[in-house]
Amino acid sequence: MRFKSLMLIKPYCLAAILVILYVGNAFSQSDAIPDTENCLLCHRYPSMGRFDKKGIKRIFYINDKKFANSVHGNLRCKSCHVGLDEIPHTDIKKVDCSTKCHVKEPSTNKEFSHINMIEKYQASVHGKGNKAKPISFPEDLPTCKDCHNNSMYIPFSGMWGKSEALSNETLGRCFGCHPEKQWAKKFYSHFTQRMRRRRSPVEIIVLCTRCHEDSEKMARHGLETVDTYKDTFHWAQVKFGVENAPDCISCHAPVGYTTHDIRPRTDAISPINPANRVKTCSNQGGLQTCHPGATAGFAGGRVHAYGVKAQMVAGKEIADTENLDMSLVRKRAESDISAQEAFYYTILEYIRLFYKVLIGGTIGFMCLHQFLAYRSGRRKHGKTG
Amino acid sequence: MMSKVGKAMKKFPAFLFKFVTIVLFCIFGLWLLKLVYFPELELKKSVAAVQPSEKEDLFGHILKRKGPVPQSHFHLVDEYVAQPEPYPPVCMTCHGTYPHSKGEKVRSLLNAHTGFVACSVCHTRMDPGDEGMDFAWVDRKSGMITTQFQGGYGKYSAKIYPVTLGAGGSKEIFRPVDEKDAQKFIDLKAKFTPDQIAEAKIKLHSHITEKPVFCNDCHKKEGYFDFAKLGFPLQRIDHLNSTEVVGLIAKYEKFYFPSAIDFGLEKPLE
Repeated sequence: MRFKSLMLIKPYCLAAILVILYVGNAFSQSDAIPDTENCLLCHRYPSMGRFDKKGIKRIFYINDKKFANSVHGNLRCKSCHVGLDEIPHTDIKKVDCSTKCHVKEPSTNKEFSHINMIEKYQASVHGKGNKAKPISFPEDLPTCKDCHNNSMYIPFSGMWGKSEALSNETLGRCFGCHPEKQWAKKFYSHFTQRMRRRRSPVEIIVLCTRCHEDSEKMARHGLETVDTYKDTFHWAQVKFGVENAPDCISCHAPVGYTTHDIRPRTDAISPINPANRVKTCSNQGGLQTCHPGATAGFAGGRVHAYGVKAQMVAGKEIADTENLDMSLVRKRAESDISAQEAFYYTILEYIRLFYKVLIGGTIGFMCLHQFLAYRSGRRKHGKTG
Repeated sequence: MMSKVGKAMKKFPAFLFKFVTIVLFCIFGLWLLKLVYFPELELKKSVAAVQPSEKEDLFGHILKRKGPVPQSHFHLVDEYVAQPEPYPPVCMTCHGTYPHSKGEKVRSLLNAHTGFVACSVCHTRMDPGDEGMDFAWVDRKSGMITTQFQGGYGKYSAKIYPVTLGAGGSKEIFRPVDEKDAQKFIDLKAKFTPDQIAEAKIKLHSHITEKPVFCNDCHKKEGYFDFAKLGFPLQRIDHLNSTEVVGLIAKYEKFYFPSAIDFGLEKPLE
């Protein structure tokens, strides 16, 4: 009898142990990446790495706790490193961000991939084009990792408090309806992560100017450098940390656009197309209050200062371009800068010259005056004393 | 009557004040002139800071690189990787932190050991019967032998070095390459002829073994290391003695992940 009851109890005990193990495992993995392939067996060692054939130092170390709290923290290594089947990893391929990574996208319940963004990106000014219309010098164009890093989830701060206290209180309310705590935490982290801008205006400028200040790279694509932005009030505000200051994204990807879909101004859907500029300057519906009363005349004004293109059309000599092939820039300048704009540029140059002479003359006269006054004082002093 | 020196001393503060004012005024004036008349100089500075020029020599951009870790490392490394090692083994002065580059199969794994095992441990093969030699932890910050260390999985506050045992149980770090000689070689290298460099290198490395200690020399029971003596807990010793990676290196030319752990289809979208 006793034996029989034990026999009955045993499966329940086993089931209970399995449940405990499973639940325990689920919670213990809160700060760990789903390392089913046991990649961390080697990759948790900080000195793991080598120099590659190009001489670049490749660090193969992964801090699992940090990675688990990053935006890619719920992915297995092979979700991105597809087809990596051998040790040593001689079969490693470049990560393709359009890969389906076995995360269900909750709105459609389909497998998630960055393909939507990549398609938009390829159609944008930064895209590599297609077979029918290839872009020259595709190696100049930024890839995903040039702009994106694997950012970490950090506790959200808002008007009711900050950091973990706010997260704890909010999550407490979430857990009421969503008992799967890890899921709720991830969802909350993702949601709050997207509520804030990842980069400050200065960081945005630094990011964009990594390419757009490179005169050689720009010349290869018929562009002038973004020095033309650094001669504006917009930049002055960003530089001095003014809140609400406009960076590149504010105009080139305002509300309703994404940074992956930046288009040339000739494109009808571009926010800097003359037809869309009033909306862009007023930034309707956005958090940033820019120029709410912007008119067509205001929005039609020039935002970036005149640069190399205007100088070319106005017939001015371009400095520091001896080693650059400026033919593409010249070609684009002819279509981008009208004769009227070249005239405005010339007038502005005269005004600039006038102020240079005025300031130089004033300072020079002041110095001369001070010198003469000093000499006269010394003479007088010498005679009396 | 006040002496000439006294008069001069009295006038000195006023003179100093005038002098400093004029200098500051001149500097301000020059800066203003530069800003108004030569704005391109400022722009050039910012451009140069952003992008290394193609015209630069081969090593220009290497010298400019700051810090050991790129800021945007995708896999989120931590401060341990960037931590400077005040007393690195002298070998690293020439061979760097990733000295292994030849064996495709093991180079990264061997480099993984450089964080917690000094080069001399493997590259000067000890005689197991030599009672005058042992291994000890050396604190990374102080460079002194210690028994107090923290960490795990390659992140330790100390590093294992070979030591010579002296009278009364005293221990001294064994350095197969004399640090002073190595530094002298680095300083004099430019003056040496190629043949002299070759000769100097051979002499410097005279205590370096031709057959370094390999994975399966240590990672086995009663191997090269006495892990217990070095303070590893029993569970970890079991793991170190039976580590899967050693078997993988010893048994296979190439190891293939079993497909059973490959969940689902992983193909790029078309």
